[in-house]
Amino acid sequence: MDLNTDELDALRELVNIGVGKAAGILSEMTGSRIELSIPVIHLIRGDQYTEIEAVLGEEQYAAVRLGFEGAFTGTAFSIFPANSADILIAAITGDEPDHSGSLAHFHSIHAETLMEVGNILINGVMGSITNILGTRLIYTLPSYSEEPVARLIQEAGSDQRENIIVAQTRMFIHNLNIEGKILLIMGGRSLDILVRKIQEARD
Amino acid sequence: MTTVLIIDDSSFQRTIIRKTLKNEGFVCIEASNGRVGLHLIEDERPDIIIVDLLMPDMDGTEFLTAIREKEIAIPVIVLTSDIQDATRENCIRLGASSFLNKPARADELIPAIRLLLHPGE
Repeated sequence: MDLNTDELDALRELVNIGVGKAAGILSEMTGSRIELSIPVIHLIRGDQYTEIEAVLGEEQYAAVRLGFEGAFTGTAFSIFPANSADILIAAITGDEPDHSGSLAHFHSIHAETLMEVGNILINGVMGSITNILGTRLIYTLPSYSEEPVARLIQEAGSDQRENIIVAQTRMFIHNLNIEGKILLIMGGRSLDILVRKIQEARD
Repeated sequence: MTTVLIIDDSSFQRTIIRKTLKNEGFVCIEASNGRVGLHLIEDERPDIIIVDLLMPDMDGTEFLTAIREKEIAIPVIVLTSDIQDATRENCIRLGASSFLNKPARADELIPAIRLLLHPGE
């Protein structure tokens, strides 16, 4: 499906509110001010999902994945480049950052820490959206992996890749120099329902 | 001495909560899912229960349902990342005494526990 300008604008605003909530939580956890970029919405045909590499590159991300179903169905990711993941974990656990630019040294404690942070962030985004729309989602257990974004999307399930909406926003944590992104992957029918619910909430 | 049962599959979260509570003099026991939590209730008889929602084996919603069926009258605080209004309403309907969001904050969690231990004070 295609979204018109008004629909894209409404979707962008909804994601913006959700990311604002998530940023507030992250600010509380790290004790730092968060700068947000305006969310960029990409609509990509499922069979052309590798186009996402042109948007997000081929680098490995530390990624937390949370599936959701209910009024609409999809998968949300909270992703951090290796350096940012390293600094973020250090800021929360009090450990020294590794600064290797690699995820290879991550162990289970790091992964679990990042999974909890990512889970809280995604819940901040999705929960804000559902509260505004007056609906509810049921979440799957969160999972953690280290992969390029195209691989993450590939694994999100072909039923969700009929059409892919990538709501990409950048959170920049000032004094820690951390960059993170939230990605929202939804299939065509779910996107249709989401847009309809946005219109209902607006009318 | 007040004993608090912490049920969360994340050891990271349990550690944060435990540290917060120990600073206030509470005794903590821990479970990684609702099923283990139910066994600990029978063995240890905690005064307060803190439970996460998304967990493997027995999740927080199933746990709330189970203790309601068993007519266990220990106050339960749900502590979750889920900020949805509908989730909060569902938990309260299932018998949760309080509903808080992660990350756990001492200035929310401690007053919530004290209020449940000493209602009306």
